[in-house]
Amino acid sequence: MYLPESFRPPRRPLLALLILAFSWWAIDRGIAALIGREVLQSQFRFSCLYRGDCDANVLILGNSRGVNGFFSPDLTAALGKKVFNLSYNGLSIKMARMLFEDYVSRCPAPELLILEVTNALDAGTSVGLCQLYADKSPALANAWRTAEPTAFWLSRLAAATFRYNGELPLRAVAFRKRSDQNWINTYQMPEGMMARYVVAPEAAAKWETLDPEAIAELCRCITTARTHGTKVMLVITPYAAGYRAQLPGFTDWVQGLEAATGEDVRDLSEAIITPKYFGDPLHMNLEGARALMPEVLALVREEGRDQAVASDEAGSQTSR
Amino acid sequence: MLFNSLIFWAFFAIFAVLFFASRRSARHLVSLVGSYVFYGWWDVRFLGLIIGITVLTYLAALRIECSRSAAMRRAWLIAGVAVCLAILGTFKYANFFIDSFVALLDQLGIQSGLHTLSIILPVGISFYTFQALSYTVDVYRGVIPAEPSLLRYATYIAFFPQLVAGPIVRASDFLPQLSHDKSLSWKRSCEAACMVAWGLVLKVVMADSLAIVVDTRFANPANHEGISLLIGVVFYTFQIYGDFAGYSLVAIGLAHFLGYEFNQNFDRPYFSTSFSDFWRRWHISLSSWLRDYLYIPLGGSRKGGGRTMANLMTTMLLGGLWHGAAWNFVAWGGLHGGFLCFQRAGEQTMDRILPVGRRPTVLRGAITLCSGLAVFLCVCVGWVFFRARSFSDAGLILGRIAGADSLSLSQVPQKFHLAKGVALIAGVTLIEAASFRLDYWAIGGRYPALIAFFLFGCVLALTLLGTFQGTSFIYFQF
Repeated sequence: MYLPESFRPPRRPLLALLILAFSWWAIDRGIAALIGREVLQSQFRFSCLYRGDCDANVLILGNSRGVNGFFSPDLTAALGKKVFNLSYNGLSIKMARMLFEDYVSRCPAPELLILEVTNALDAGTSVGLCQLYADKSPALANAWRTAEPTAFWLSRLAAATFRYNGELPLRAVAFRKRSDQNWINTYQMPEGMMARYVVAPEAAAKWETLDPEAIAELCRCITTARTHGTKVMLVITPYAAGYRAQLPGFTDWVQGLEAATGEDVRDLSEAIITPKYFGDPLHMNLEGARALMPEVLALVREEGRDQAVASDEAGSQTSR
Repeated sequence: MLFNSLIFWAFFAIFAVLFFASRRSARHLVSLVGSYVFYGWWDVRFLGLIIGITVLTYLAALRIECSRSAAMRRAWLIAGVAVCLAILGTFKYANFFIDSFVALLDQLGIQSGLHTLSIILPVGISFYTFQALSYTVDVYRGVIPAEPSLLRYATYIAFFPQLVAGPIVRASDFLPQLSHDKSLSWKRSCEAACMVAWGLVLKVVMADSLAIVVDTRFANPANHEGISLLIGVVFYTFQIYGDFAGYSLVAIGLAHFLGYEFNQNFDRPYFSTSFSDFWRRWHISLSSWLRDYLYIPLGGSRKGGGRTMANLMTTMLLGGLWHGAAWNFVAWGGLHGGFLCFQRAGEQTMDRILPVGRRPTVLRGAITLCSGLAVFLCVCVGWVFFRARSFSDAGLILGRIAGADSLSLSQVPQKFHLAKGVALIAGVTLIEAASFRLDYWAIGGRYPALIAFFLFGCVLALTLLGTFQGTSFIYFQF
């Protein structure tokens, strides 16, 4: 019915099983090593970080709204300073904090850290990111082990290739030779989409209360930045027209965040609302990021002036 | 315990050791206890139900066989069938009927005051009640003798590889195998490993990866354009196949490892060239069960064209209802009933115009190709009702797809998962298409090293491409 009757078992089945197990171990480790080398040498943003190859003056961290709200090549050209976008889809504030701590331990601290703070709606763990760079970052390894202990130990003992499961390794390989800093939505939201769009109740509910763990992570990130002499700017990038109206808890959430962190939130959520600047109601596109750029540049330059003024004052007090 | 969870494999390892280490006379007890542990793991309260059905139908079958008069035999048959249908009806359909009745009364402006009951749907109830039903009927028909041993019969009903999501195994196929010798075999182990590995690839690599795209579209269809929804529908077509065929293959592989042979449950259904061909390839154990215990007893195709169509529609409507206590499942069944009736009428018309023997080869080929594509498209449409949360969602999805004025993918979200999904669908389809020409088992027999490469390839696919979100199997909800 299946294998033909002529199929004969090996003369020493246990030995055959041992050989199979060893073969799997060798193949698995070999392939994992090959993929790992390709991933680390990639121009993918996180590979640059863990290679110690970033050296940004302005660092951006956030979720997918951070990916699509800031176009770093144009910001770099306009500011004359290197702007590096380390945002990623689904990146929570907890992950952003860990990435920033890893950043300052490998690269010179940036002058300015821009945080797109809608990632402070929750403090989840991006398991894919953790497992991909676990061997480069004790913090990520620890987060992975805490979130998925079985997968963590299974990958250590039985299947090293499991670390390369998911979207991120494939993106890292895709950006092997070219920078991913120009990765941004390029399409426009279809006509009438916002009129039909309904925010899911569970998504709207997240704006009703502050997540204590997320706020703690945000405060910790801000403290780390200050310790390294990095200025922090909290920003909320735009939503398409009508989206914010479906979030009744928005204003209170922002005010609560400001009170909890002692930092101002630069609320640009309604700075640009024209549908053509959005790929979907939550995410801008390239055109939108460029349209938003003057506002962002103004804020960055204002931060720079404030920092210069603060430095002057500190210097003059010292000289007295 | 899901097949794609580590706890299941730990359970199976322990079970297999106990099974092969125990004496032949004790293996049925080991199988039964293991199966009850497996089932009780979901919810220990479910055990009372399966034990109840087992004992009642066991007794009913014995009484059928012992009864001398036809009337008594028939009475015990009715009792056995009634027990199964009553339990299934209560746990699965009570709230559906209450809701439907209340909705009907609302339409008539009558306030009923009726409320739904707090009932948990036991996992696998549709499968083991059908097995118990078919056993009772087969004893009545004289297909098999009543099983004198309650232990053996309980093992048949509760056997864990196929307990919670099929395949629906006939007693005439399974009970004789309980007497066969079950020793550990390298050949059988290789075969089982290949089936389990490929089954897990279908489920964990393909089905669960496609689910990421499907779930976002069906959760909020109003937020997606036509092309995005079309992708969701096509992906779901392959997701449900990978999910269910994968589970069946793992179940068949595990049983095979233990020395039991289950029939194939899926035979490349999306290569079907007609709707009847589709139902000979999709969920074969269910479609053959419906044919033997519903369609044929209703008269099958023996009572003229009109009655045949009625029998087809009845069978498919009830088949749809079996899948779920909701009108969209009934609609799905009704659609397939309609497809089958349409095909029957179309074939009769074609035969009158141009009989099969007089059709040129080119025409036969063109008909086969066109009908194959048409079957696939119609099946996709049917799946919309199967997956959508409601009729209005299904209507919205189909309306948006029909009205789509752009095939541009630029607006479609989750492009990475899209690309991965397309690659997986293409890969699995190619492998299955090649199986029409290549006998994979014969090749493995001639070059045993290829079996090792195949297994390594499956494990690599699982580790690199598998989606491990703890997703259940779709058919568990039935």
